Amino acid sequence: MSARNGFLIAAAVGLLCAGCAARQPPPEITRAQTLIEQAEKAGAQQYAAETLDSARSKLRLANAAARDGKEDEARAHANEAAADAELAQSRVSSGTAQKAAEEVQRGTDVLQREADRAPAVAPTQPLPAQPTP
Amino acid sequence: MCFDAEASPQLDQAHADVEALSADPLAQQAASQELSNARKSLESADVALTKGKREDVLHYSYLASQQAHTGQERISTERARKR
Repeated sequence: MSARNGFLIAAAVGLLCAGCAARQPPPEITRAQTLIEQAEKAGAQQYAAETLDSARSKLRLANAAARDGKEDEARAHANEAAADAELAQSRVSSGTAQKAAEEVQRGTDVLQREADRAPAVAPTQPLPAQPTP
Repeated sequence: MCFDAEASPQLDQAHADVEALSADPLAQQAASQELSNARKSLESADVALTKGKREDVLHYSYLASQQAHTGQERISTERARKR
């Protein structure tokens, strides 16, 4: 291989790498994508559907801006998407904690009602006398 | 002038959201990170307003409000767990 060919190959590889680097999405997009996936897995569709939709829509805008080379715009959309996704996930946590607290409260109410009714069903027979030592 | 009038509703709302979060007695315990993030975003929005950057005012106001709401949800979670 001549020195000229070697130089051309190295230049081509360099250009390819530069192209790959340019196509890498900004880290904000990756973060937003991860947060949205986490919110989805946690159950945000049930507890925060509107907020989750907003996050997805902003992530789409971020990806489109990144494809057009508008980095600042992509970052801004991605940061808003991430804020939406975090809010959606926190609504899931709050919703499930609320639900659990209500379950506990219902159980406590049932026990309380049972305890209130207890004197009405008390045995009419006197208990046998304990032997005295 | 026109810009200030247009930007202020979102910025006013963000100030109100962050204020409401910071006024909650559980904010420091349950949502200190969210409160800190919301305050930083709000500060950026205020700075953008002084520089006349409308898009940035709207962007940072939005972030501040969402972060404050996230903080409120963390507090709700904490309250539900304590019940």
